[in-house]
Amino acid sequence: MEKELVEYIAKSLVDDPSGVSVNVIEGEKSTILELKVSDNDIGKVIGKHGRIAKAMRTILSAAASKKEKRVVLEILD
Amino acid sequence: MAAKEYFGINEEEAVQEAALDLGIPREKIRYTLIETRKKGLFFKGGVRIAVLDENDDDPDVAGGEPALSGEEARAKAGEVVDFLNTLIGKMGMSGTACISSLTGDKLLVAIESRDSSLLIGKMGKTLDALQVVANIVGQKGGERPLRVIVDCENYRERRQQKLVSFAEEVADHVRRTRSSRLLEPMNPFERRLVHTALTRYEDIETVSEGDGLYKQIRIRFRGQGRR
Repeated sequence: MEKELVEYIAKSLVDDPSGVSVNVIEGEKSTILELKVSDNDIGKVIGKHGRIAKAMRTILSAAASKKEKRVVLEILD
Repeated sequence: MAAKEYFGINEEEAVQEAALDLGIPREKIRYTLIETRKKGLFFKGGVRIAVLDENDDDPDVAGGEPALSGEEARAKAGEVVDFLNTLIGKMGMSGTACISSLTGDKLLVAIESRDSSLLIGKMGKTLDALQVVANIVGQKGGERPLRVIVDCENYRERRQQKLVSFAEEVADHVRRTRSSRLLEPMNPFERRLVHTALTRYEDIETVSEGDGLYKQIRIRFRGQGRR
């Protein structure tokens, strides 16, 4: 579920939605989501001073707050 | 900032009074609390409020009915609302976003939800995050960006009122003690609220200190005997 959420946000923000992919790594206590976007779009998902990345993480943790598990978002470059 | 003042036994009464006098619906009245007076031996307790001008250039509040605006703005507003609705769904929450007002390039989105506390978050953190991404969607494609404000259960308005009355309280303290006070770090919008709220006092001045997005406001006494 978190995967789709991140995918959806990222695809809405970037210029090249086809370059968006999310890799899920399930851990025992936490889930790690690795977000990959086209090289040109990296700035779009990070933002000035990481503003957008921070917003995505906040939304993600709000969405995950109903569950026990922690969700971590990593942006790969 | 126009200041027509009204008095009532409590906040609601005062607003009601203002609504009757000005002939505008009470939901549309924007005001700040000036004074809360406790009941004393010789006077009734009560609340005094100052009603702000409808045309106050407050960036967060689009007053009045949604004005007719360009096709482009309307189409974009629809896009932003659709985006937020899908987003809320994907967050696993129930609730709907809808256009509350659209004036020029300013869009106010209201979210109705049973999960409102989660959507607002601590100190409005989640609401701010939603606003950040909604603004980017509102910016995409097209020359003029749509400025989006996301609200839920009037959180923004409530927070504003709280902030302004807090600023007044601190100003009062500064006036009494003659020594300055430094407020918590705030974002530009909130700082602006504090600055404008206190400009009407000639004996008080406000300055921002620090760097970056989150600066701190210092409230100082301007008159004699300043420490």
